[in-house]
Amino acid sequence: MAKILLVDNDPGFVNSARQVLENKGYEVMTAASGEQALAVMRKEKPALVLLEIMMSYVLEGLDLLREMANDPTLKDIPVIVVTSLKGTKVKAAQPSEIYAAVDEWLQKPVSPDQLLERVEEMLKVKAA
Amino acid sequence: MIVQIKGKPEFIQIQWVPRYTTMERVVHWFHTATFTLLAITGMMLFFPFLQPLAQGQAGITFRLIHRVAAVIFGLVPIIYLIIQPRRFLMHIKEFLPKKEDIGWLKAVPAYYLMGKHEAMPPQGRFNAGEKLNGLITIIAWLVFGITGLPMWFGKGVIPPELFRWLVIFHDLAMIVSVSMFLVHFYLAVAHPLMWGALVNMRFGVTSVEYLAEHHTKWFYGPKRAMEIWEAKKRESVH
Repeated sequence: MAKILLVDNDPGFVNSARQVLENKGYEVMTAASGEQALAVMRKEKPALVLLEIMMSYVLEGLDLLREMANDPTLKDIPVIVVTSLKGTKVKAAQPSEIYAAVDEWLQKPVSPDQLLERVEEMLKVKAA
Repeated sequence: MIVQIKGKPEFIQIQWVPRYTTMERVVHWFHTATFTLLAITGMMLFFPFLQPLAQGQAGITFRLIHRVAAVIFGLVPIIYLIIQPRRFLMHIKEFLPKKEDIGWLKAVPAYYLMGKHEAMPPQGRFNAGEKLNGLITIIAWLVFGITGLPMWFGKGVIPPELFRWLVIFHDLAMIVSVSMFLVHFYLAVAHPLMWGALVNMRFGVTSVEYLAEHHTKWFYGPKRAMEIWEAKKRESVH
């Protein structure tokens, strides 16, 4: 089964998400910071990253996305943001306003079904 | 602050950042309400010129309000510790002074009185002043409890000399915490630079603009916050 990297510094969320994913047979790795996540990604090459943006500082997850985008070995790994940050959907943006790009954005709290559905969908898209 | 969703004409705008949990806000406002009642009723008994207001039935009522408020004031942090021990201990750790807090202290006159933003080093989720307020609140809570309970239940039982010392420490804790409360109240409610502070504690969220200005280290991370501050300082020289 696919390797999934869970990047979050909230042990409560990490434990429950890990359980949900492992029950479905995924191999789950975890990292509690952007720096740790980079090290794990470079070593393990996960098929998917689940990422909280707010960790030890507010933009830590977005900075990780920027690092990934600049690394040819990591830039194609799909990322689903699962965050407590409140985001509002907008239809347009100036290029200078865009901080980073992600494949999917989920707002916490996320139900186990919703999480699994998005993970499976993303992995299918990647395989196709 | 905008994040693009790859392959879709969709963007996510981040405008509000959660800063305080519901529990933190409930604890804060219960503490504020009970502290205000305790300070008012306590001062009626503390200041000789107010003591005429606390005679007879009025005095009995003020003492009763003081004690009821004291019970809630004492229990709120204990309930918080029981329900969310990890978060509670995280706060205590966050409030402990660090060497870098000296930079905030040095910058206070230039920043708060003259509005020189470049004078203020980057601050975390709590700035050093908020940390100091938090630390004094915890210490005062302990002193009020240690001195107040024997004053309430031990009158006539504990030696008069010890009772006198308890009263002195109770009063000192009141003087320090009320002074801190007044500074905190002014900064949160009236100071022009702290425009988002009250919103943060009312709604639990803070705007991206406010964070980028006041809590740069928590927003951008330590490395980038330092770079931004250095750039600000360079700009102010030119």
